[in-house]
Amino acid sequence: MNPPTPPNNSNRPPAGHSRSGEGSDWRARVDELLADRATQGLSPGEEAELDGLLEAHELPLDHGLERAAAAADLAMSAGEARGAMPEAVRRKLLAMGQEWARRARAGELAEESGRLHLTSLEPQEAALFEPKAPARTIRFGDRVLRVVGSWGGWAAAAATLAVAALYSTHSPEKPVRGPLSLVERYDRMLENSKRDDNVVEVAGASDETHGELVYDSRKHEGILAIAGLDPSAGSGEQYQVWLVDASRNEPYPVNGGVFDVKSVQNGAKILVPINPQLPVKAPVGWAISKEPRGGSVVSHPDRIIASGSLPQPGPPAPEAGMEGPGEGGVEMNAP
Amino acid sequence: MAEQLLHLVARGDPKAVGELLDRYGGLVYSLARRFCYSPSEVEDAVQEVFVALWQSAVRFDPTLGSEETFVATVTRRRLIDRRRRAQRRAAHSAEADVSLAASEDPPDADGVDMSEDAQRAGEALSGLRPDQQQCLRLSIYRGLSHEEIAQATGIPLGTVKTHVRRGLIALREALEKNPARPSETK
Repeated sequence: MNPPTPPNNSNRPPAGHSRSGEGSDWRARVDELLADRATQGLSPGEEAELDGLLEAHELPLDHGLERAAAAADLAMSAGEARGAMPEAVRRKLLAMGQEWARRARAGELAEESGRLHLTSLEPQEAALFEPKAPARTIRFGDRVLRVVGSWGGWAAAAATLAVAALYSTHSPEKPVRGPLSLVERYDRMLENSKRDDNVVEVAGASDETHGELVYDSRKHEGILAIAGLDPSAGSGEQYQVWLVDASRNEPYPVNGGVFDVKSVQNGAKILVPINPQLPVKAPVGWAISKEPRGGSVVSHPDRIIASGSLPQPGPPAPEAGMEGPGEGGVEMNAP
Repeated sequence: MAEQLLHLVARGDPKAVGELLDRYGGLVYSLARRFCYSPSEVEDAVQEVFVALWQSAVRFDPTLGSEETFVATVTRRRLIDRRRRAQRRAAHSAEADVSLAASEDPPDADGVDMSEDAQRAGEALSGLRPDQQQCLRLSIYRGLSHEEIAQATGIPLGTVKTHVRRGLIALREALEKNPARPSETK
């Protein structure tokens, strides 16, 4: 492996740098987003906005604010007794780390975007060594979406490893005791999306909304978590969910049902259970449109107010065309 | 000059992997305890952090900061990300109970050994205005969101964000005053 190359050290826009017609507002916004990221994290929409600004103004990813926050954290916590991590945790991590080091020496690491990844992973290792695939920004029509997926980009190797034998058994799935609430089901599906190819997570964000769909194509059910929708209860309109199925030859999305938003609390997400009338075998996208109460058989791109998709080849996204046969609206109650 | 521990980890040095765990395991574990709500979550978080450290060890640049600061940066990014994901899942989230107990202020660090970065950051922090210091302490050490800080302190949200942003920029400038620092190996 080649010696590491220090990253670019110029971490601020050069003085006077601006794109024509934009003034310095974008610089203030970049600083605000970077400070937010260093302290409280960013929403998918904000991450996409920051990526867009950094790319548009050719700025590097590292601006030192996260480092500053970390140094401040070290200063603030210097007086507290850190103690040692529990021995069982240490043993498990040491075993994982030794395995990592062995694979590194065997040349099984590749660098992508400044991070090292194992080039071959058994399925049971994916959750350990790639707990969350990196998020990517894609353009979806005129919206910039932040998409995460359960794919990791790494093919599983045929070689068998004794890795699992080194670890104490720690099942990430919590045991089910009685019926699960909608939140618990959503939580469980999100966890499963990290290790079960039948469960995908598809995120999407726009200026006003952001949401994630988790869908189990084996059970033909999903849950959409969405924020940023205005209340619809009592109005003449309802929201309707559409699912894009890559396994279908026709370019029409599948109706996922209608729902109301009763009230909005501080940008919190609502959870919408989805049970489409037709099985969706390969969900690659979703959209929410505003329709006359009861839903529509056919919608129109102009009515779409939120969407998300995976960057996969398949039928056109909902914005490209919504005309075509569909199903009648299915009334569901929002939680 | 001795090769940096993180670079040895990136090259697959087995002793370096163990050394990294011994040297920073306590730091990572204590940060995770502050960000997570249950012991099993702490364990998962610590695991995720160390995998991230092995993956990003190749990026460590000693001219930008100390090894400890790099570890803390990667750790905080992961923990903030986890907390954000957990908050997104809690769609019925109630308002956070933001009561500020005095005992939850950062402990007194007088006379404690610190890395150069931490020392500089601490000095820069104490030179900030009191309301900026308060916002940064609540944000960085207590992990409150800016909205929660505004709720708890009565400071308008926009002002909280300004305090945090300007405070972080001031800390960054203090850290960058001596950019060509010698590498810190223990």
